[in-house]
Amino acid sequence: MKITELNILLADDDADDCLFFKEAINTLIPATNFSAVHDGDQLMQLLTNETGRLPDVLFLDLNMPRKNGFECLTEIKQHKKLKNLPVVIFSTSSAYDNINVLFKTGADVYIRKPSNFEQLVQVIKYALPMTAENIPSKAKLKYVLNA
Amino acid sequence: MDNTIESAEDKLSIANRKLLFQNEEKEKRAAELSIANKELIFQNEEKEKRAAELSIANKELIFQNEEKEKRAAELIIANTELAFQNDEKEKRAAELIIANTELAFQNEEKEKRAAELIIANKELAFQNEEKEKRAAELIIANKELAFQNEEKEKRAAELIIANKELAFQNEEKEKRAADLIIANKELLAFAYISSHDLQEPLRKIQTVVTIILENENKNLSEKGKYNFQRMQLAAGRMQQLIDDLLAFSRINTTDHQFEKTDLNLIIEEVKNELRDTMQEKHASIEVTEICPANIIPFQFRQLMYNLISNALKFSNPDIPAHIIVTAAL
Repeated sequence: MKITELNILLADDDADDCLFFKEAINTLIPATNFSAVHDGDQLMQLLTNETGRLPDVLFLDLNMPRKNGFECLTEIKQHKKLKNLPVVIFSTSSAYDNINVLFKTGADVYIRKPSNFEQLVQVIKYALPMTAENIPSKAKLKYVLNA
Repeated sequence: MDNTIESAEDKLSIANRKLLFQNEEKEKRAAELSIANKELIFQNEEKEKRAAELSIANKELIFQNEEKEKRAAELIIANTELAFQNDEKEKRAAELIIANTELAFQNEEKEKRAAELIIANKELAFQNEEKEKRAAELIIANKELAFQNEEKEKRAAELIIANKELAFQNEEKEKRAADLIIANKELLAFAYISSHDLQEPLRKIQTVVTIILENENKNLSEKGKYNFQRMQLAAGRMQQLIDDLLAFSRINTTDHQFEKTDLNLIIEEVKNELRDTMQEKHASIEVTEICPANIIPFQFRQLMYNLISNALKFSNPDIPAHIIVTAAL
């Protein structure tokens, strides 16, 4: 799978962050297929919809209305069809205690939202090949990407 | 022949005299017998009377005899009974003899004990005397104590009043302390939440600034660029303040869980974080004699970060900094 064919889904309730993310993705791979949802319910509905194509990677914010990111992650990793979906946590929190719980639950990468656009582009760039390339799932490293 | 007749006549004469004599004698005898007979008849009569009396007496005796036989039969029965009782009594006597021997032994023991008790008694009597002396002394001491006691009771009454006052003050202070603990928790929670929430708009300001600097670089005047950079710097300082506030609030809000941790790993992490600064300062870190330790990883990491970053910040810029980290017990 080439990086240009990636189907990227972002779940984040913050409109500004969605905009920044979209711009960063456009800078990296302009032709990519990007979509966003704005709460946990929407996300789970989209993912469990039988007809839709699954994204190649999900960027998941933690603080979201209706169903938070941790609840979504737990559901995804327990779902037969979804458990292999690569999940990149995309959050403002730098509470290191929570990160281990997230990795144990099945998160693949943890990105702390940077406060610099160039850094945002960089961390997304780092995160994408890790999830998209053929890394055997068991050998997947647990990364915290701090700008 | 003549002689023979003469002898026969002599003999007859002699015999005749003899017979005469005997006759006389017999007559005397008969008279005596007659008298004797009369006497016997009398005696006979007497004896018949006596026999009659005896007969009566005999009947009486036969009756008595019968009575005595009945009595004898009763006595035989009684005798048998007595013989049985006798046996029983002998058995009992045998038992009593054994019991007696036992009692005699016990008696001896008791006498020994009694002798001992007499000695002990004397000893006790002596002790008793001593105790009476002591008691007399104690009575005096007691009076003294009673006096002191009264004094102390007065003092205790005063102390009780003072104590109540203190208890009241204490309660007030506990209420105040509880209020303070709650207020403190609220403050820390407030610090955490506010710093967390404050980060959000700040991060967006910073991101937008970088986007404008990137995309609108050509359209900005030099002054405009300069002002944007100043804005970036101020936002950066604010971010640092918020990060510090967040780190401070986390010191008390997270659970203090000690974990056996390899300190080398923590120092390695801190080195990675400070890599840029270290390169700028041409600094090197030397780590010696470090062992795993029971620590709160987050706080220890923060401690090492602060120590090493301060060491870098305040080092002489003309000399490459060399930082030595070592451990000792």
